[in-house]
Amino acid sequence: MRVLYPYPGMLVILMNAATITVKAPRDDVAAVFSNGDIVREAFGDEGVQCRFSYIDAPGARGTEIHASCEMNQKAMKSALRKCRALLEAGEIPTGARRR
Amino acid sequence: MKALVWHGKHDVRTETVEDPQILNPRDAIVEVTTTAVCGSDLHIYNGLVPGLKPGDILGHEFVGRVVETGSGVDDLREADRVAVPFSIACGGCDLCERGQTSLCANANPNAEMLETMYGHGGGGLFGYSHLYGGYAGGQAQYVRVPFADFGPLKVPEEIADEQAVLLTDVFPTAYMAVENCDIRPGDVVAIWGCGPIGQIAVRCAFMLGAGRVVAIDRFSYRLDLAKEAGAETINHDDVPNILEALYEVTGGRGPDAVIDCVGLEAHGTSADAVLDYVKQAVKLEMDRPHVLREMIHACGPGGRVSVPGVYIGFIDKFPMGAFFGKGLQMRAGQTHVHRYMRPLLERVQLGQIDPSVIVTHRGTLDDAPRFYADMAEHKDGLLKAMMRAV
Repeated sequence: MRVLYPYPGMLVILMNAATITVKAPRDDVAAVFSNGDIVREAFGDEGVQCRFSYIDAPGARGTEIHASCEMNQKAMKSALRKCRALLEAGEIPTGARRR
Repeated sequence: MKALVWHGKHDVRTETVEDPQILNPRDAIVEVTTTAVCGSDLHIYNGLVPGLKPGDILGHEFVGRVVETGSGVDDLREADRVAVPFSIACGGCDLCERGQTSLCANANPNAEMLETMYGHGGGGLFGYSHLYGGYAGGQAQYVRVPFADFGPLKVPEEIADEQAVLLTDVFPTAYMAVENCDIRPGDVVAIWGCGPIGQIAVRCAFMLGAGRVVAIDRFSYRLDLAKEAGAETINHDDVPNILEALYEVTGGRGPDAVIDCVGLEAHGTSADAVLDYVKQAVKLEMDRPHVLREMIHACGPGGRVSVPGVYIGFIDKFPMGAFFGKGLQMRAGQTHVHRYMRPLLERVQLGQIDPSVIVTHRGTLDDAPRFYADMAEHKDGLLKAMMRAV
């Protein structure tokens, strides 16, 4: 997040943006994201502040999810990857061997 | 359990570690019966792959029996005998659906590490650094297999363990490398490197219609095995100029397709090869691409360049002028093993090929450190080492 003070008394907050493509129809993706559970699991509590928009990806590749958020962009990308894994693979991968 | 553990450059040890557990619904635990050392494991052993941590378990070629499955795995049962692809793939992303499973969008929990290096994340691999997910490898008595409802292939009992292990990497890698050459009947294919991948690539090239195959290496025991498969051979150390030698063999045309089965640790005595050693030692260059340069120089006009050999980072003096001037095409990458395992198993069942001809040494997990050291130093004619894990 970047905060700008263009002139005294005015504050502008620039949200960070990140995007990912998920192999699922737009309506399905939007429905899952509006539920909130997947957002909370992937983004944590900060996720509730994020804004999401959805665009059909070309070539029947699914749906582009565009997120804007106050989180840093690296964390957003990581969270979006987790969302994609939950939607496409049904679970979030881990390289761990044990709990 | 026993496992082969990485501690640093040239330091791998067989140790007792904790058994793996089911962590996700689509996991399975496989009891490894046989595992192998891959040539690409040596890149780790020689300290050229970033992203390793002391304590990491190595190995990505293994076969075994299922001992436990997660709640999301319906098609595997306890005691099923399985060969497990070296790359981990979810089966549900766009890349998996297109058959490019080694690039799976969801298998690598550390995708951001690869994204920093390559611009995009990549798939997950067993026992091949945290860049590729940090998954524990299969040079162990037990291994956690993610997405077990998609990856493992049930292996019929008539297929020997050693044949099955070679379906997890070597045979598919060699086959895809040759397939990437778009061979037309009668083509001349030149293969640099007669290690396990090169040996099987010779056989696959003939299988897919090559008229002649030229195998290039610097060890006579490897060249002899390639010759047994019908290849013409060139000992790299015996010819002053590989280009001239290939002119001779191909009537001046150059090979129609060339395959790099060497990768980032190319040896050589030419000026560029010596410079690569120096640059790699002082970390000015990550890979030693002498073979890649040589192949591009030698490949005939309009030819195809296939690169199954592993490259990690950045290279210098890439001969882009020759590549462009001769209108070459290049294909590379980790093998999409999932796509090839079943059809290649059928070829083994039909007796069209026995990939286990490359196995030269056998032992147990306790022998793994010695096999790594001997393989790295080309001792004792070691081409492929198989280890019993039970």
